[in-house]
Parts: sequence; C-alpha cells; structure tokens
Amino acid sequence: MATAHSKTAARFMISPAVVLLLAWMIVPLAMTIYFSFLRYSLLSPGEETFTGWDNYTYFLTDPAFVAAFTNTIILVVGVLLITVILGIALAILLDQPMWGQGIVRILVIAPFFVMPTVSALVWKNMFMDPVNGLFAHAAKALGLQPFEFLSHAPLASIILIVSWQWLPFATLILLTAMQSLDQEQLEASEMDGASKWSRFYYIVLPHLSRAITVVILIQTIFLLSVFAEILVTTNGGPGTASTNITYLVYAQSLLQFDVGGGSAGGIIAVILANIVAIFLMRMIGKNLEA
Amino acid sequence: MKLFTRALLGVSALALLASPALAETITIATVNNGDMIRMQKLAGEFTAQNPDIELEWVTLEENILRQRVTTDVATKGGQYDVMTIGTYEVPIWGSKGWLVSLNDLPASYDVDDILPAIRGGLTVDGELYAAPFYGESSMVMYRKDLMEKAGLTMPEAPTWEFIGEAARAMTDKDNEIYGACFRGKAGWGENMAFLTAMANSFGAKWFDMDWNPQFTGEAWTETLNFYVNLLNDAGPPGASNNGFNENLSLFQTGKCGMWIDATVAASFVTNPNDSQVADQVGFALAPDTGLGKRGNWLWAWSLAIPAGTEKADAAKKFVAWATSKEYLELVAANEGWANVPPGTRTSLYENPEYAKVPFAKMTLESINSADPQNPTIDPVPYVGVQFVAIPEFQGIATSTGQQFSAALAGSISVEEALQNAQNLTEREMKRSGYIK
Amino acid sequence: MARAVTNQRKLVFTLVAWTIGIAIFFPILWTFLTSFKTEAEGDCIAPLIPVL
Repeated sequence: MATAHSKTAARFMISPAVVLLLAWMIVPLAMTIYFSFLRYSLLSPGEETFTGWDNYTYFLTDPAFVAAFTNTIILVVGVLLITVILGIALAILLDQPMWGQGIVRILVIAPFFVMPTVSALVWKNMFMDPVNGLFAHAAKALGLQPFEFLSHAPLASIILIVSWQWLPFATLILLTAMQSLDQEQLEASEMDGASKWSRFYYIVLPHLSRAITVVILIQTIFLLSVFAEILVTTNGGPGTASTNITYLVYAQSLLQFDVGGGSAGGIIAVILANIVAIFLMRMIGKNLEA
Repeated sequence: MKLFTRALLGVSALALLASPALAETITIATVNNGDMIRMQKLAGEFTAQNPDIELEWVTLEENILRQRVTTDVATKGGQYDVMTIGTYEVPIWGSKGWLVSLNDLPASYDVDDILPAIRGGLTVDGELYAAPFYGESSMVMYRKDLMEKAGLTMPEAPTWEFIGEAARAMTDKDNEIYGACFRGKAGWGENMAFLTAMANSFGAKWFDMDWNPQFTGEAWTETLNFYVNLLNDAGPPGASNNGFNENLSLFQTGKCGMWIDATVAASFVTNPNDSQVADQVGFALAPDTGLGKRGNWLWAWSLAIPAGTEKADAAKKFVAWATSKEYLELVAANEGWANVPPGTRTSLYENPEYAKVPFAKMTLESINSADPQNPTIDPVPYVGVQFVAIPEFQGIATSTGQQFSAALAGSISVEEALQNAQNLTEREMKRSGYIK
Repeated sequence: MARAVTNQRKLVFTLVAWTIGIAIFFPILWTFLTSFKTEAEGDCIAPLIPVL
C-alpha cells in the first residue's frame, strides 16, 4: 500500500530520469528557438546579431514555400492512402491458408530493410530511367514511347518509391492485427447469411481500426521528413515540383551554413507537423482510447 | 622474474616519455576519390622520410567532407591539420584569414611549376593558400564514328554553333543515339556548373560590378534558350535528371554523340573494361561563340592548412610532399603514368612519358584556357569559372538550378525560369547585404 | 472450430500471394542480379544467371 510518504520517495527517485529526459528534449529545442532569432551564419562566425522575426519571414515568404507545403501534404496523404489500402488487402491475403506462407511474408516485408538512399538509386537508375531503365525497356517492347517518370511526374514517382518502402510496415502491423481476429465471430456471421463485403466492413475493418490508426500516426511522423529519396532522384526539381519542407530547409539554409535560417525553418516545420498531428488525433485518435 | 618485470616497466616508462618528443601526429581530412586513396597508400614513403611525423587520415565523401571541414574551420575546431578543399572554398576562406599562407614553401618545391590557371584560383591578394593535388577542367568528348557518319569533322576548338549542328546531325532517336548529353540535374555542382561555364562563353555573367544579378539580360536568355532547344532536339529523354554519372553511363553504352563534362571522365570512357565505345572517343576543347571565352570550367582539389593548427610546420611538410614533382614520379613508378594526379604541374606535361596518355594534351589545353580571376567577358566582382566564390552561392545556385531544370523539363518557359532565378537571387543578395 | 480448407481454395490463394510477393520483391531481386553484371551488361535486359 502506497503511503503519502512512499509516493514522495518514489517521485524523488524517478526524478533524475525525468530531469534527464526533459533536458534531453528541452535543451536542443530551446537552443534551436534561440538560434532562429539570430542572424547566424557559420561562414561569418562572431558576427551574430539579433534579428527578431527576420529568419521566419524570410523562410515563409520564400517563393517555393507554398509549393513545398502542398507537396509535403500530397506526399504524406498519397503514401498513406496507398500503403493503408494495399496494406489491408495484403494483410487479409497473407492471413489466408496457403503453401509457403512464411516465404511470401518475407518477400513482402523485404523492402522495409532497404535503406532509403539505396532504394531511391535503384528505382531511379534501374527502373525509371527513360533510356536504360526496365520500365523504358518494357514500354519499347510494347511499341510505346518510354515515359520520363522523374521529369514529368516527379512527385508521383517519389510517392511510388516511398510507398514501396512503407507498404511492408503497414502490412506487418495490419497482419498481426488480423491474426488476433476471432474466427468464430466471422463464421457465425457467415452462417447468419452476411455477405463477404458486410463481413469485411462490419467485422474486419472495425477490428483493424486501431492498427490502422497506429500505421497512420507512425508513418505520418516519418513521411513528413522524407529527404533522401528527393535528394537522390530529383534534387527537388524540376522547378519546385518535388520540393518538400524538409528539402526546402536543406536548400535554403543548411547548404549555406545559415544556422539562423535553418533553425527558423526547422521550427516552422515542427509547428506544421504539430498542426497536422492535432488534426490527425482529432480525426482518428479516438480509436486509440479504451 | 621480479627483476624482469621491473625492467619491462622501466623500458615502457621510457618509451612513454620518449614518444611525444619523437612523433607529432597530424590529422588529414580528405575526399574519397581514387587519387586521394592512392595518396594514402603511398604515404608510407613520407613517414619513412619524416620519422618524427605520424599521419592520421579522415576520409569522407565529398559533401560530408565539405560540411565537416567548413564547420571545423569556421568554429576554429582544430580537428584537422590538413584539409582537402576545392577552388570554391580557397578564395572565400583565404580572404577571411582562415588558412595558413603557403608562400614560404622551400625553393625545391618549385611553385612556379604549378599551372598558372590553377595557381590563380588558389591565390588571394598574392598569397597562395592551398597547394593543388589534382586539377581538372571540362572538354568535349565525342564519338568519332558517329561524327564521320554525320559527314562532319570536329575541329580542335569548336563553336557552340558547330556543336548544335553536329548534335542534331548525329541524333537518331529510333536507334537511341542522342547527339548532346549535358548535365541537367538541378544542383550547384551539377547543371549550374555546366550552365555557368557555358554562359561565360556566351558573354553572360552572374552579377554586375554592384552585385546585381543578370539573369534577365540578353546573354543569359540566349544561353538558356540554346541549351534547352539543343537538349530538346538532340538530348536523351529525361535530360533534366541527368548528372555526371547518368551521362557517363549513357556515353559508355554508346548512346551519346557528344558529352561535355569533366576531363577526368576521359580516362573512364577510354577504358575498354567499362566502355563499349573506348576506341571511338575523340576529344576537343569546350565550345565558344567567338567572343573570347570558352565554356569550360576549372576545379582543383587542393591541400590547405587551417589557421588554427599548432602543427603548421609538420603540416606544411606533408602538403609540400603530396603535391611535389617527386610524388608524381612516385605514383608513376608504382601505378603507371595514366594514374598520376593530373592538371597541376607544367613539368608533368613536358614529360615525354606522360605525353603518351591519349587525353593529356587536351586536358592541359582545357585547363589553360580557363581563368578563374577573369572568368567572364565583362568585368565581374567575383572569382570562379563555374561558380561564384561567395558563401551564399551554394544555396542560390541550387535554387536557380531547380528553375533551369524545370525549363529543360518543359514545366515552365525559359523566360519564366530566368525571371524566377533573377528574383530569388536578388532576394538572397539583398538579405546577405551585397545589394544595399 | 477451424473451417476445413479445400485444396483448390488454398491453391488460388497461394498463386495470388506468390505473384504479389514476387512483384514486391522484384526490385531487390533485380538489383541483386545486376550486381553480377559488368557495366555494359547492365544495360541489356536479359537477366544474367551468374556462373559459379
């Protein structure tokens, strides 16, 4: 039984861990906020001056900012739609009895272990390249003109690459959820004459909702900061067609060793990510309760 | 037994005392190019001559190296005693006083032997701030057989007009032969290196003497129109995503008629192990428009000593060794003349052994025709052929590069791209305080 | 009680799942095969069976 005294002692004992964790989080954040108000370039050290909101207005009025913002949203939503819908389908399929189930599962999960830069290079040079790529060879074999993926549909191509990397994650989480589904419930409904569609819609989907929420939340965190794929394939171009916020921070600030501008861009990215997170939690967060 | 232990302890104590006096360790940051790896392999020769100096290597990929050394030198971190940097950094860092002057190298080093164009790019106000390890320029590499089939002969010093005509004549899209393979991928070291050098030969410039950007001027309009039209007519599909490596693979698989890129590529495309067209490659100087400047760039990976180091003397000894004539001979003796780091010393090109290397002469002429101190036809306030040696350039050129690759991909017009480039450069220059 | 699975049903699922699995895995497989090719062979599409 916990007395008031032992509670105090317990709090006192966990305090070092809490303080350490807090410092771990707060100190870098506070320094970033502090830097974001300075005109601070690594290339002219010792000349830091306070500039107020200059770095922020500069970043927000960047001609590429609006494009980068919409691209970020399109990228996140696009990848989420693809991975969640295909992930559900794959999870249901892989849950069925079949020969070689273990091997098929490994095949499906394998892309998750490929590093982003490597997968971007592979897709760019071996598949999407309009001269030597496999898609171009296939198009030519069918007598078609090869499509220039990265020039004419850069964002869609990046969505494809990123979806390929994240589909295994969604499948894996949803598959484990499928395995905890009560088979007898399904059979009972089948005997009551429920169609396949209604069994999916009224039993399977509600059962998966919590897992889907987890997939969406975790993937959103990572998808907001997609960078390597863009750097390797298109460098954010043509124009700003595939520039997202992360890449914009890189191009506008880090390439120039501009610590102040980079910090401001980083803080804006954090704020945007939080806005997205609040919306997400409002929309689907209730699935996590109970 | 006890005595033995004591003796052992005594000896090791002595060794501990003696070692700091004997050896000084210098840390060298370098890039992971073939030539640098070779230097690392041969460095035993240097430590044998200088037993009091020990070497520690930090070998990094180009972009990471640039970030690390820039951060270190700017914050006076003092992690490195010798840094490998390029012609872009040297003028900036030299004028900030971040580098040790190398004007006092011994006479045996023969500093006058360094190619004047390279030396000019590494000198600020008469002080040499870095010693060139290898130098490169850009030139035209073309397919002799395709040129012949098109009924044309490549002059040694072509004009852009001829390049345009030849590229269109060589192109045979049904058989996947593309006359013009140029860099199109956005980036300050990718399409902007090519376009800035090309623009110089069209009489264009980045800034006037008051640092006002010049993209909306006639010369840039002409340059970009020529580039976009030529690549649309005679370039490979997806040219707006092609950088050095993509074009290299296109050329090696026989899909390019002409490729204008770094002189170091010559050794790759003439190597029969990697290239299907090795025996059909010809070389020519980068094109011009008759205005007096050619469209080739100049770059030199160089060794410099940061001003903060306490081991400047040992570092200087190493820099002098690695960029000396003796080092070139050492490489030649171990690996053959074709693997000697090119483009730094006149004496190398006077060597009859080296003259046998097929691309030696054209490399030298290309380097000599670039002048980083006076890169453009009109006077400009900056140094650098394919770049502008100011700290802001990397960021600005990456953004303008995106605009120009968009123009090439056809998602915006040439006029829009130039107007956007003009606006964003002006914005950045105002913020940085160049334009008052 | 688990439902008895007919072999025919199982076969259909096996075929579909293997097709999709291999399609998803294909880029990795292709990269692996290409790693045995020389620069020049990398350009042609015929898969190369490594000779050991």
